[in-house]
Amino acid sequence: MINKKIVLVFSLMLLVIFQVVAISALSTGQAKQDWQDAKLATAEKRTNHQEAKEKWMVNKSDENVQAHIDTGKDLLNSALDEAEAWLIWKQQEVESDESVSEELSDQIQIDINKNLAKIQELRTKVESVTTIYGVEDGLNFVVIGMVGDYLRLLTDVARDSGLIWVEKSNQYIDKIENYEASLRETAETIKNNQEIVDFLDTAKQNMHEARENINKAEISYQQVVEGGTPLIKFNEGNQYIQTAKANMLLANSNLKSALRLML
Amino acid sequence: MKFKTIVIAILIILALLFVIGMVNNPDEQLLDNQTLSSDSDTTETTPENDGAPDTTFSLEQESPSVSESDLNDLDSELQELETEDLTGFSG
Repeated sequence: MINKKIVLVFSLMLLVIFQVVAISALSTGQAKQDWQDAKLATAEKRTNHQEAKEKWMVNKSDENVQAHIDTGKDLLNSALDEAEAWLIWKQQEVESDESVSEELSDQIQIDINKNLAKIQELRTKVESVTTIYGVEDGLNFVVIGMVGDYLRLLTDVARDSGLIWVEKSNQYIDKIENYEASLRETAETIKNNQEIVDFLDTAKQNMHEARENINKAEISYQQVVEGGTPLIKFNEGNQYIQTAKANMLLANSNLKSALRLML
Repeated sequence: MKFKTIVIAILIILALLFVIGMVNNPDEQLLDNQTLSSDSDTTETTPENDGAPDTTFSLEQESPSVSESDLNDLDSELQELETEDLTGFSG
């Protein structure tokens, strides 16, 4: 009877653990899907607005003016939905990633919450639109004002995302350095080890290049700020991270060659 | 009776998994390599081996604490390091 209870409790514990893992994976995946759906919705709203605008240009009837305004508001709201979905996905991604440092994770949560609040402010502005050319309530006026605001919504979290990739890359390169040091220690105890040492030296050179590229990526991401050229700096950082990744894969491949010669 | 059978079956599976784990343990394999190379050390001075690169383990030699599976795992982790392109963002 006691054994049955133990088995039952043990099974329940396993079920709970699997449930938590599954829900966590599902919510991050779902949030990403929501963002992709929001992107598609924006594309659709853009087409609707373009069609309404073309009709309005041909015939400025009251009905066409209203359609121009309504589809424009729909498009702006959809773009805000997209930004919101992206921020929520980023939030869940960071929450479920234990390798992100607490300091960076806290900073990201602050930036995301700040920008989610900003989205609500922008929605109010969109809601106030009633004309096409009005100064405060005009669609064109709000669109011009939103261009900068929209970029600012993404800037903070884009920078944070870049810094996460830098942090992860640094963790990987630390690991590779430890492996290399360990293999070199063993290689020194082997006679006629020149070929092994050559592979380890090449790996070391790859690691040096990777470290340099990670540092350059960090500098680029730090420059993803308002008032600068955030998207250009973000893409620059991405390219450095991709190059560092190639360097690290090469280093790892050289470590494998060295290890095979030892076995 | 049925419950006892299930428990015994689980225990047998666990025991099998333990045995399989022992067989596949890389440290054990390294130990085997060391044992073999210790034996081969005795033939090191034969004329056939003169001048050939000797990468076999000597008795003083340490075994690598890094395994091929460690490096393969790192490879998989590195492949997952992906950046995102925000230029496709609608605005």
